[in-house]
Amino acid sequence: MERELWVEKYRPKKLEEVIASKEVLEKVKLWAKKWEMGKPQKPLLLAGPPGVGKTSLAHAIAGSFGWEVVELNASDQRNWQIIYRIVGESAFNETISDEGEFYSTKEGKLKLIILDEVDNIHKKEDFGGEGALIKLIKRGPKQPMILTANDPYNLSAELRNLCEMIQFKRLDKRRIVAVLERICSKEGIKADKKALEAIASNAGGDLRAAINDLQAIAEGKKEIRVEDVVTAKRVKELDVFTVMMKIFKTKIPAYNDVMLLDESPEDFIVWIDENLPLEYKGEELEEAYDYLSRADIFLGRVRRRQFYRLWRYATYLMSCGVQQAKKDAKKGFTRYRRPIIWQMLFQTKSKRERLKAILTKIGKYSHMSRRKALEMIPFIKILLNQSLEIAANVAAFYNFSLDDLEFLLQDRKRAEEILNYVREKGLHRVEDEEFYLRQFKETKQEEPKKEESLVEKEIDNKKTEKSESDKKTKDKRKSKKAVSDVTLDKFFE
Amino acid sequence: MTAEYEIWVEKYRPKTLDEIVDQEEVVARLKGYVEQKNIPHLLFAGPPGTGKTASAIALTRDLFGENWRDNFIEMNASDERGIDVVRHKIKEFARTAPINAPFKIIFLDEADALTADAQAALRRTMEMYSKICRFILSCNYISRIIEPIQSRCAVFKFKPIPPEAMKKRLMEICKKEGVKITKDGLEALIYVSGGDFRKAINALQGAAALNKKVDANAIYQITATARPEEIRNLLDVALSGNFMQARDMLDKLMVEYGMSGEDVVSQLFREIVSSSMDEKLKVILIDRLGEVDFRLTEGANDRIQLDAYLAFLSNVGKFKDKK
Repeated sequence: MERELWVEKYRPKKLEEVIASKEVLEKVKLWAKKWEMGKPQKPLLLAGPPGVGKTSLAHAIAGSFGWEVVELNASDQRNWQIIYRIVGESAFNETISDEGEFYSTKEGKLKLIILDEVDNIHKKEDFGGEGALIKLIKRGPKQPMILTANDPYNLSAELRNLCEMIQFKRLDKRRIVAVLERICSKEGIKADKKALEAIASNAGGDLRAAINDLQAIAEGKKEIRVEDVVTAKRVKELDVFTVMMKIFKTKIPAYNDVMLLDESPEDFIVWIDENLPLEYKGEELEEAYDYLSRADIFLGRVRRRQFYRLWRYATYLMSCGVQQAKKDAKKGFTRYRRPIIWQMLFQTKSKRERLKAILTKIGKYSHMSRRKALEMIPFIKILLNQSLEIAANVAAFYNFSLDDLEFLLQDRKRAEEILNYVREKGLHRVEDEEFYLRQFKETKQEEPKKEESLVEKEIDNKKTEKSESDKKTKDKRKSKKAVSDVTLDKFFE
Repeated sequence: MTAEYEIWVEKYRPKTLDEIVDQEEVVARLKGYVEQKNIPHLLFAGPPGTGKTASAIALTRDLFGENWRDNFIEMNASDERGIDVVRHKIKEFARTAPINAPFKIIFLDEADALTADAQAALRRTMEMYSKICRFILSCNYISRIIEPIQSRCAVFKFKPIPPEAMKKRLMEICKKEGVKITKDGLEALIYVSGGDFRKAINALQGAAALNKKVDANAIYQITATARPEEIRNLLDVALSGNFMQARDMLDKLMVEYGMSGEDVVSQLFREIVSSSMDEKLKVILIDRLGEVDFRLTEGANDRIQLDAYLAFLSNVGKFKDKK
């Protein structure tokens, strides 16, 4: 399973790789070149909807020109004063600062200051943040600066005018498909064009969303078909984020907002669960979780008894309950995220299915539930790591496949060795023997001629050497039958 | 070649009623059925690893002989606990005619995991097809089986196996397998298994595979490996106040290892009780854990209940450090 997000892995490193219009690229290049020539420029303000490549463009500029980057993501620095201090020092100190290496400037190199999501700072901070930024820019920073914003009209006209604004539009479907295709070919995934188009149109012009969806769908696969594209409705999530912000940041009752959401309480509680610890800590966290826990109890009652009326209590507790658990309203911007658990469940699906298949086999042959079978696994692992003979007998007893063995041993080679041994020795389960033997008997009585082919076929399946002489095969068959009789007698004695 | 029984729990699983260890009363009554060549519906109740499943299989084998498998189906209610299973899968098997036998046997293991609705549905099935089909239900707690089913079954109570009987059987196994076991090793085996034969035999085999001589140390070691140490780490991380990391660990346990909320709570219980932390703190943790356990049965999403517990732990942990 891949841990790295493709949006990071395939984030453009150079300007040429950026998906943007020619005009934009030219404009940006010119801006950067002038900086290189020692002519300070106005800060750039990259404005546009999420996932169209604003931040990527900023990083790509730095990459292309070999600039260092100081990025201030509004989400990890809430205190405006910190931003002011760091930006101020980075922007004006051309030499090594007191702050240490991170903020230092390499000789002769420029340092690009990226201020992400300035509209969010502006909206949420009331420490005169915007004023401070304006003051800073007016002093004429010695380093290039790029601001990004989703909605530039949320910023004051003064700040906008101090910057060179570049508007980004939602990306069109064709371009998104092209990027997805490139990623697929690099990942060695065969993808149906229709599938990629479905992902792209579902993303609504948001390339990041499209790539994330692609990764979720493609994980562990070599091929993607249209059926694989489970359409997650991106539009809906915007509302979820807004409502979460209200719940986590304010104490203004959000019960009605949650009721209006196009998301069932059972799903919405997972969103809250995912993002709550990003906002609340310590005692607040404990108290809020207690409300969530009680909300979940109502959800359980609804599920068991179909008392949908109870949903309102669940909804109230997960919204207003969580809201009231905090001492004060929260400031600053927090980047909420999609519940990781959903992605994890999606990504580990094949792994869990493998485990389930193994547990089902153990359960079947050792007469127990899958849960009890789970307790057997450590012991089975120990046995599989003993001599080949022991391991092979265990593998044959539980009818483990190569994939099963590999999963248990985390070692493909050993798994193959074990399975080869099973085949060589013709190991198999007792029931199978019973079955063969009975068939053998029946056919003997009814159609003696057919017996030959049946048994031969079976032997062929068991032993891979087909090219053996007739005599040898017959001998083997004889000895095999003798063995069968003995074990069966023993078995039923 | 038949795969030899390398797994001792299988190798030493009783093949006939005579081999069942220390359930004389039960065995005597069951043998009576074999003589009559008929059985009513049966309900086996008792702790895990006391021979319920083994008795059901041995009984069927004694009744039907060589082809017992044709007329025997085994289902585990804890794997498939919904009413649909009763309505479809069980009914489907119950209505098909037995093969060369007067009736078929449906063995429903862990029947107490069935929901009350499913049990009620089962009652009808038991009645409708009673001519051609017998049920053997097994459960840990008889009180979890609804009255109407209890009254339709002959009830057999399996008692916990006394240590002496268990020791005797384990010694036999050791002798046959050529395993050297010390006296304290045997005691340890009895202790960790808590009267569960399956656990005891598994631990014995695991220890024997890794050690020449099985002593108490070897047994404790093997049972410790069998217990995911992730639970201990989870507890430590949560108590240190690192909620986010603890939650990631929990996700891993539940998603990758497929543990249910119930499994996690049970292991947490064991871990807390046996840990070396302050006794007063233990009481507080266990008290709350009990509440979580209860809420799991009432709630919809195990993860939320456990996250709530982790939030509690990461907050409590702060006070622990101050003390």
